[in-house]
Amino acid sequence: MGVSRHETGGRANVTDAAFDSAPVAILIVDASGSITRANRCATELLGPLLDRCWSADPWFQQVVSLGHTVDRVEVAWNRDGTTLRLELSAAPCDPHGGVVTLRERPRVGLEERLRNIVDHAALVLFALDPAGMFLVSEGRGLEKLGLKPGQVVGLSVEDVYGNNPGLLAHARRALAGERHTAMDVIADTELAFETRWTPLLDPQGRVKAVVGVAVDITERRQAEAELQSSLEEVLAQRQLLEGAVSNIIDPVFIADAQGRLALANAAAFRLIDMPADEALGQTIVDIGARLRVRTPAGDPGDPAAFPLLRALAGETVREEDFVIETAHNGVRHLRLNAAPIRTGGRGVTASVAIARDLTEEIELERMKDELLLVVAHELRTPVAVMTGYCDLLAQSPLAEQPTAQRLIRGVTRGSERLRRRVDNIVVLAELLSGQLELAEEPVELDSLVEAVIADMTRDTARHQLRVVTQRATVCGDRERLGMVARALVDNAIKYTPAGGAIEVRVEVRGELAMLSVTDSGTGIPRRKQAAVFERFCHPRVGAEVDYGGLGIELYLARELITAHGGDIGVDSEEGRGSTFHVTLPVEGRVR
Amino acid sequence: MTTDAILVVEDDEDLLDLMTMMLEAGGHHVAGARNGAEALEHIRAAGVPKLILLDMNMPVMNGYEFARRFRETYDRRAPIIVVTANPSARQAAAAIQADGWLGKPFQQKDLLQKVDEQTRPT
Repeated sequence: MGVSRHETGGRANVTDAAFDSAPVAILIVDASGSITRANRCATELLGPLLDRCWSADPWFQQVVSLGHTVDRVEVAWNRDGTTLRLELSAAPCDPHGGVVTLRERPRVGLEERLRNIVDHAALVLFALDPAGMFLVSEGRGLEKLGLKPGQVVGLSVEDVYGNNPGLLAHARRALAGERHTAMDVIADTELAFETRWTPLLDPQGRVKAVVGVAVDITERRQAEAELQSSLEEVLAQRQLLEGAVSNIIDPVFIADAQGRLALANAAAFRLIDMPADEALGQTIVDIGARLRVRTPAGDPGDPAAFPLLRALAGETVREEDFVIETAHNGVRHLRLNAAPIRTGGRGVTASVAIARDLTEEIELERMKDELLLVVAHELRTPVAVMTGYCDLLAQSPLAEQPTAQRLIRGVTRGSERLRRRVDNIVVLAELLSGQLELAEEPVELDSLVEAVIADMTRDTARHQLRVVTQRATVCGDRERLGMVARALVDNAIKYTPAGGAIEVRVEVRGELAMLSVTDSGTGIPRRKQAAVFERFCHPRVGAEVDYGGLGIELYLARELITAHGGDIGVDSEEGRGSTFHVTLPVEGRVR
Repeated sequence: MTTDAILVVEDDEDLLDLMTMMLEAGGHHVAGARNGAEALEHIRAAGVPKLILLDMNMPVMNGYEFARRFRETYDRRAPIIVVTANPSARQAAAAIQADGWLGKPFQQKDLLQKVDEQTRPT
């Protein structure tokens, strides 16, 4: 569709000139929609759109094809990607076609912008007259209240807020001239509005009107409530944890990723003899140096071995003992457990250690061992008196009478057994208190074993005892080695039925002297064999027969042989018997 | 002044009696004292014995103190055998430079053997 200009004579020239220079865009359109004329303003305004007016807007088509009159309708056409907002007026022009004027719409005014805000923001804008009658009620916020714009205009605040005393009170305050902001929750809903009440006053200070802006804060309020409740939850959990930590009786230490003390409980600060404000933030290494950390053996503690630091490296430390020393608490013996703390998939971010103060326990243990030692030694003297008098009695003329002889032998045997028990307890007490002392003298193991067996004739009488020996001289404590030999032969007798065979051998193999005691007794189940040398072990507990004994004889045998630099062991088959064997370096040969 | 008696210094009356009987059965003359102070008094009155059997843990004056004072006054004119139930009998013997030691409990033959070792004419 082309655009043409018709040049027709003088008067027509004047009209044409006016047409052309008119400050509005004017188009003359024929019935087919073709623009037959366009003035300069139209050409400038529409540019390339001039050719597409017909398809650009339905108004245009209506004007042209139906002959409607249109007065300043707003249209928006797209020109080169930008929106052209136009005010379109048109009048039909006989026979068909018409004249269309277009002008750019003025920029949106203040009122319109306010309207835009009121229409789109979730707020309610209202105004009241001094009597509390609604003059204005607008805003998208009304939708939530189920109201249409203007619906309450003409109603009073009592009519509208009657069921909401709080809101009514807020309105009355404003009507009384008080500017204020209030929050209201609408009854029967969870809707919450924050309303700014502004009274407008005349020069005499009387309220002319009240303007109110209510903002829907329902979501904000819910979010705040949720935040508050999760905050309270976090705080409660934190308090619970802190309460738990501070109320644990054992000292608890928590180190941060940099190896500094981040948290500890009161027991911990007491233990390390440092106030919290001084200790927190210090490195574990510095605190360790201050505490003069040592191993139980007395070696200086290597900082790399500190449980809190090892836990930071990912290790879980279980039941390790350390000794610390402070001016106030003296030397304390601690047992520590430590573990890494991993948070939120970020690897180890801290470590925690719990210490148990074993100082009192260890002291009690030591006192117990000391007591045992004292008791054992105190028993020795009366036992010595008993055995001594038995000895003398046996040699006296009284012993020549046969009945007296039997009685004396009975008392002698009883006191001898008592003496051996006491000897065992003495050795146990010496071992436990670290006071075991062994003589170092040449001992002919073969003679010693023979002497021990000779002392046991009554005990061995009911078994077939075979003793095979060769000269084997070792270096050690005659009395204590005799105790071991006695324990092994006693054990064989105890577990071998009457008439059973027992063989005792002493021989030399290379540089080792060997004592072995083989019985034909009940044997020891394989899973219990290692346990027979443990303290207070009754490996055959649960058997039908109670074999008695303190349960320390074989333990003492192992400890004594080990202290002599030797070895002890057992081979056994259940139901067939056992062989206990002891090896010791022959004299002059140190292993 | 010397005597041919053996002095037994032992605070346990039963043990003192027993040792006395054992030694007498072995043909020895025996004198007894219940602590170091009594022993020193006895020696001052009766003379230096041929052998002293000495308990270490005693009231009034213990074996260590007795040995020190005895040596000061009489030098080594009588051998001392330590008789104790203490596990450190050997150490005690070494501490007072004793001539031998005997652990409690002991048998008569052990006692007589120790005594013989120290009193046998050389």
